[in-house]
This record gives sequence, C-alpha cells and structure tokens, in this order.
Amino acid sequence: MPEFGSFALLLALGLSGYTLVAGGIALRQLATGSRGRVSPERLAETARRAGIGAFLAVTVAAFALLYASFTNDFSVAYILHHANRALPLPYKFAALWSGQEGSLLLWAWLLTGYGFVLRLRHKVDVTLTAYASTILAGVQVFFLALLNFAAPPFALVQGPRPQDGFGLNPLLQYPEMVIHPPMLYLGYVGFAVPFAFALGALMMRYPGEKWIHITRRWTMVTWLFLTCGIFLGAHWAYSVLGWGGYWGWDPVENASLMPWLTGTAFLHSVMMQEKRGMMKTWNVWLIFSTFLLCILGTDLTRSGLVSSVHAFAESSIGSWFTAFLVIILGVCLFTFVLQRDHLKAEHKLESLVSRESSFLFNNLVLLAACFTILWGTLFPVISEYVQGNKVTVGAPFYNRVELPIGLFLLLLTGIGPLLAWRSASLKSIRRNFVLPVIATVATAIVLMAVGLRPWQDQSSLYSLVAFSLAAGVVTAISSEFLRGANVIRKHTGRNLLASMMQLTRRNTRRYGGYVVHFGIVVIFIGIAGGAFNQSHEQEMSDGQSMTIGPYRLVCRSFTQDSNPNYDTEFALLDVYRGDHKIGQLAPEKRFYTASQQPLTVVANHSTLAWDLYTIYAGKNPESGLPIIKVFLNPLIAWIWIGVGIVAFGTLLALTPNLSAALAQSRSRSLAPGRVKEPEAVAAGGAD
Amino acid sequence: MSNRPVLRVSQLAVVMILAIVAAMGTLGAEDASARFDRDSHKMMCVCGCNQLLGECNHVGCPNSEEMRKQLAAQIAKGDSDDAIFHQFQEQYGPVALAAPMFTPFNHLAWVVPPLVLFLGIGVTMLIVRKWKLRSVPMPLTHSNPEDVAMRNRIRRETEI
Repeated sequence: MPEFGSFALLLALGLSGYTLVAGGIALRQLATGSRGRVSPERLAETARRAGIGAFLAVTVAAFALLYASFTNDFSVAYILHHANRALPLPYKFAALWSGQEGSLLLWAWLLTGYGFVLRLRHKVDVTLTAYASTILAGVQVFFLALLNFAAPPFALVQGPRPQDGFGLNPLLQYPEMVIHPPMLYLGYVGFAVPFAFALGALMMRYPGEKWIHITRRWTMVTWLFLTCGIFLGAHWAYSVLGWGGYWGWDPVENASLMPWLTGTAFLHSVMMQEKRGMMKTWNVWLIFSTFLLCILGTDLTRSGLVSSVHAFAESSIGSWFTAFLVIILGVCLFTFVLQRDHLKAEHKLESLVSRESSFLFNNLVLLAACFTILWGTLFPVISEYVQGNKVTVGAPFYNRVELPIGLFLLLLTGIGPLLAWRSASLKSIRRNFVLPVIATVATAIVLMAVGLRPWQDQSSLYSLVAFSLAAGVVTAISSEFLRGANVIRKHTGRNLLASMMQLTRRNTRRYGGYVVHFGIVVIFIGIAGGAFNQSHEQEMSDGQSMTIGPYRLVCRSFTQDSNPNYDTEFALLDVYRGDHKIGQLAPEKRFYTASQQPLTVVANHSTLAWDLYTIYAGKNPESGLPIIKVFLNPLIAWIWIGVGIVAFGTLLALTPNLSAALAQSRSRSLAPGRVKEPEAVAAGGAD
Repeated sequence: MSNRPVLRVSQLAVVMILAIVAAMGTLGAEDASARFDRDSHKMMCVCGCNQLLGECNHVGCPNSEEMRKQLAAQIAKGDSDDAIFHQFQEQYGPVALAAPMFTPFNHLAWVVPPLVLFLGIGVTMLIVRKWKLRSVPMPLTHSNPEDVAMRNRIRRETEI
C-alpha cells in the first residue's frame, strides 16, 4: 500500500504539471491567436481533465495513508511516529494531519479538491476558469513536488518492521483536533481559488467585475472555514492546554489570524468594486496578500524561523516555502505592472462621510491589525539580525497594541452600516446615530454606576469601552433591521417578526452581513469579560473546600486509573452554588504510555455568566495531596456563541435572495403559453 | 446642503478617537496587591514551552517554579519592576521578558504599529480630500452594458 500511495502522488504531480504546461500553452495560443497541431480549445480541455485526474490521484494517496494508519502499518515512518496500536480510531484518522508530511498531503488533497470543483464548474466562464485552473495547477505542482521529493509521507522505516508506534502527541488526542486542522486548512487552501481567479482575471484583462461575482461564494465559504478553524483552535487551547486562556498570541495562532484579517478586508472592499467600480487595485492586492500570508504562515510554522509551541520541527522545507513565496510575489508583481492600467477606478470617493469611506477605514484598520501581528511575529528575527539577540514578543505586546485597534474596528462596525453610499447628509447622520450614541453612553454610565472603574486599570477601561461600543453597535444593527421591517410591515400588514424575516430573505447578503456583525459583537463581549478573570490555587484533601466567586468546591476524593493508552490521576470535586450542589468536576492529569508525555485534562462548568475552569495541577510530593487550580472566567461562552452566530450569518449571506428567486419565477410566469403562478403573484404584490 | 460641517464634525470625531486610542495605549495603572500576578505575566518561562511565567503549568518544568520564587522574593524585597526585569534579563537573557523592553531598538516594536495606523489614516484622509476637491465624476471607462446591468442588480439586492 505505501508503494501504491507513493505512485499515486507521483502520478498527481505529473497530471498537475501537465495541467500547468498544457493549460499555459493553450491560453497563450488563445491570447495570441496562434495555433499548433492541436487546437487550443482541445488542449485546454485535456489540461482541465488532467487537473480532475490529479484530485483522484491525491485522493488515492490520502486513503493509502489512512489505510496504513488504520492497519497499524508501522513500516511507514510517518505512521510509526504518529500512531500506535492503542490509539482510538478517530485519532488514527487524525494522524493524517498530525505531522509534517501528512498535513502537507491534506493540504494537497484539499487544494486538488477545490481545483476539482472549480474544473467541474468551468462552464461558469470557460476562459476565466481555464486561467484559474492553470494558476491553481502551479500551486498544486509546488505542493506535490514537496510531497514527492522533500517530505514524502510514504517513506519506509529502515530495518525490521517495529511492533508498535510512538503514538500521537497527547495534546492532539482531543475531539476538536479531529476537525480543527481540516477546517483551518480548508480556509488556508481555499484562498488559493479567489487568488487564482484574481490573478487570472488580471492576466487576461477580464472585463468588468464578474470574476468577483464568481469568487464571492468561494471567498465567503473559505472565510467561514478559516473563522471556524481559528475558533476551534482557540477552544482546543482553552480545553486542553490548561492555562485558563484561549489565545496566547503564539506565532502559529498569529499565522492563522493574518490571512483572516486581510480576507475580511477583501470581503468588505469588494463590495465597493461591485457597486461602484472602485478600489480595483486594492482588491487585487488584498487577495494576493491573503494568499501570500497563507503561504508565509505555513513557512513560519515549518521553517523553524520563529519558535512556537505548535510549530513542526525545523526542516529543510522552509526554504521551499520561501522560494515559493518569492515566485508567487514575483508573478503577482509582474502581472500587476504589466496590466495595471486595466485596474483604473470608475468612480472616486466623493465624501469622507460615506459608506465607501467607512469601508476604506475598516480596511485600513484591518490591515493595521494584520501588520501589527506580522511585525510582532517577525520582530524577534529582526532583533536577532540587528541587536544580535532574540527577544520575545508575547501577549503583553499584542494585548496593548491590538486591543485598541480591535475596539476601533468595533466602532467602525457600528458606524459603517449607518452611512449612506456616496455621501451622508448631516440630517441622515443625526437621524441614524442618535439611538446608537445614546445606547453607548447609557451603557458606559450604567457600567460605571454598578462599579466598573475604567480609571483603575487598563483592562477595566478596555472592557468599559468594549461593552459600551457593543451596545451601540447592537442598537445600530437592530435599528437597521427595524427600519427595513417597518417599511415591509406598512406595505404588507404582516407582523414585525414576519416582516423582518421577509426583509432578510429579500436581501440575504446585506442582512446576513449584519448578523455576522452581531456575532462579532457577541465575541467582543466575551473577550471583554477577560478583564474580570479570577484564579485560585490550593492543595486539597478529602472534604476540604475552596471558594471562588459564587462557587464553592469540595474535594470528594482523588484517585488513579489506567487503560492501554494512558495512566491518569484525577480529583472529584463537588460544585456548590450557595447550598445547592450544581454538579461534579473531575480535572485530571494523564500520562500517555506510547509517547511518554503528560496531558492536563481540564474540567469546566460553563454557564452564560461564567466558566468554572478547574485543573489538576499535580501532587505535592511532600503531602501527596492534589493541587487544584481554579479559574473563574466570565463570559467565555459568549465567544463560542458569537462564532455560531457568525457562521449562521455567513450561511445566510450565502443563500440566494428571495427577490432573485421571485424575478426568476416572474420571468417564467410571463413566458408565452404559461399561466401565472399564484405564489409568485402574491409575493410580487408584497414588493 | 454644504458638506463642510459634516466634514469638520467627522474630522473632530476621528481626532478624538485617535486621542482615546493613544491614551488607551499608554494607560496602565499600578495595582500593588496583584503585582506578582501582573509581573509574572510580563515574563516568559525560559524552558522553551513558550508560556508566560505566570501561566506555565507543564509537569516537571525545570525553570518556572524557581523563577516564580525569585520573582516573589524580589517583590518582597521591594525592588522596582524595572529592577526586577533588568535582573531577569541579565540572568536568563532577553527572551525572559514577554515583550521588548529597554533598548531603543526594542522601543521600535511599540512605535511602528500605531505609527503605521495613524499614517494610513492620515494619508487616506488626504487622498479623499484631494479627490473631493476635484469632485468631477470620472468617465466610465470600463463599463459595458452587462456590467451596468449586474451593478444595478447588485444595488437593488443590497439596498432596501
């Protein structure tokens, strides 16, 4: 089976190479009007089919590696190092992406998978898709060359076949680890598609904005995957790493956040290109940067250039990624210089107080946030070069610099939707902003009245600003919904809720976007709760209790257990609120047999108000008693709920508008020889 | 109606926001009771786990316990934060501090991001102002009927 997988990867490389070369020749012939022995159309079609074949070949390779994992084939070095016999089945599946070679194979699989869908849907625009397919094939060739020559997943162990493997890193043996990496990779890899379309559109001087229309769904789906991937990673860190937090500003976390920020900026600024033909150069460079940041992030993770708890071991493939990065940047720059006259804006900004300028500022702030992260991530390397010593740029730096930027962004989230396109009049500003400003100020006053003292420390100030702005933004979003719903209610006589639903269905993109904004606000509220974290550590014997916030924990017992995969020590803690027992928590410390590594298993009692987060910190060697560390983290659940709302809003924005469906049914009903459909007539009346 | 008052109000608002953001960046009140907690969150465990000293919890860490004891002792002795950070930097190297400190080059780490943001905002405002002064609608150089139809459709779909 390993040989089969190896051959499949080689075949995939050959097919991708063919797609790149044959596709390139065909597009050149089409552009210049020259013809070879085979017509360019036929050549392009063979290239497309070879691209589809590459996906099938990589699929075979991925299944070959999974088969090796499930059948404990420890003759494959990768399986030997990332699995063992006692590993539960879901984690044998996760072994596919738990090491360098496997994760690269997953990357190649997803990339060819995206390419497969793109090539199947080529009729959307045959020429543009041919360009995008050829560019994507170039990216495929890079990853498949890596898999064939630099990081082969099917390399065999020298000497006799080992009886058992070294096991999977215990930190990865957690349910979320089965879905977090694929989600993240779906996000990273997915940005290759809008990148390929943008570069292809620029290369062929594609007229108009249709390429944006074609890639909008790709970009939103990719953005959603990346969002979910990032927050699943945060939830995993919160649940597994056991330090009480969910985001440590580690270089690998930063690497995932940077393309998310530029991708978010792109999703906003393309609206200006779609609606007003503006910011064409900006948008092209935003999507170029997003893809380049995906590759840079991978480079940082795998080259050992920056130290990270997540980073794969330092290896020679870092130089491959650096070279690839330089090539992509070179191609983008060359194409841009050659075709930049094609990107002239059709309109210019007419007012500083307009929807356009709010998008511009939103872009600016997102890019500033991205630059700050990039700067902080690379500063240790720059410092080593300039000062001769490496410094650490950790959470204190990011918290101080990024949080004000984040709050500024939250403010813009509220302001943007209230401004009119082109130019907002003073009257409309007054009308739209009165309620949100009142909500913001009132919230600040109420919070200070109930005891929040922003002048005492920085985190209290940030929290006050975040809660107040959140109130303002929610008011702004709600008033937008209500204003639109009232118009529909007056026309149709329906109740407000039904009117709001119809309003959303009529313009899913706009109102889905507002729901996403609402989700972001909820996430900010959850983050702002971090200012009020409490923690307490105590040695606990049987029956001893500890109090934190409104909770009292009583130690019932502490004991040990073992199974083939790991040995464990844990404490049983009864949780009381007042005199009522509300549950039991069992924080534990595991020691995995195969990998000889420990793991902290957090026990958490989560409510909307607080997370009671307990850790078994270890045993006091002198007394033999367990040391329990407890955190009381307010509003954490809001972060995960916020992500759910963001996902819902994005899916809503992806669904077709009711008006589009109505227009379609209307055109059908007006066609000769057809009877008007009553439903369409009724709905049409509603307009 | 003239847009001048709107422009002035918006400029004033932007200046106020920038001032608040700048003030927030420099604010940081002392809290003596939580000094150990605060300082331990400004330093790193040097064992290579990449965790803040105050949060390092991995089993058998050869450094964090000793570093925390040393920090507690120095706080009890009444050393200033700067003296403590200098001492740790000398003993464990610059990587022991969780953020760049002390050297002029390290201060660059803090200055550059806000500088880039403010410069970006300033340049954007200048460009918009320049465009606005020109204020002549640009000819539609690239629009073709298909684009116009699509743009109109998008406008219809995204506006109530």
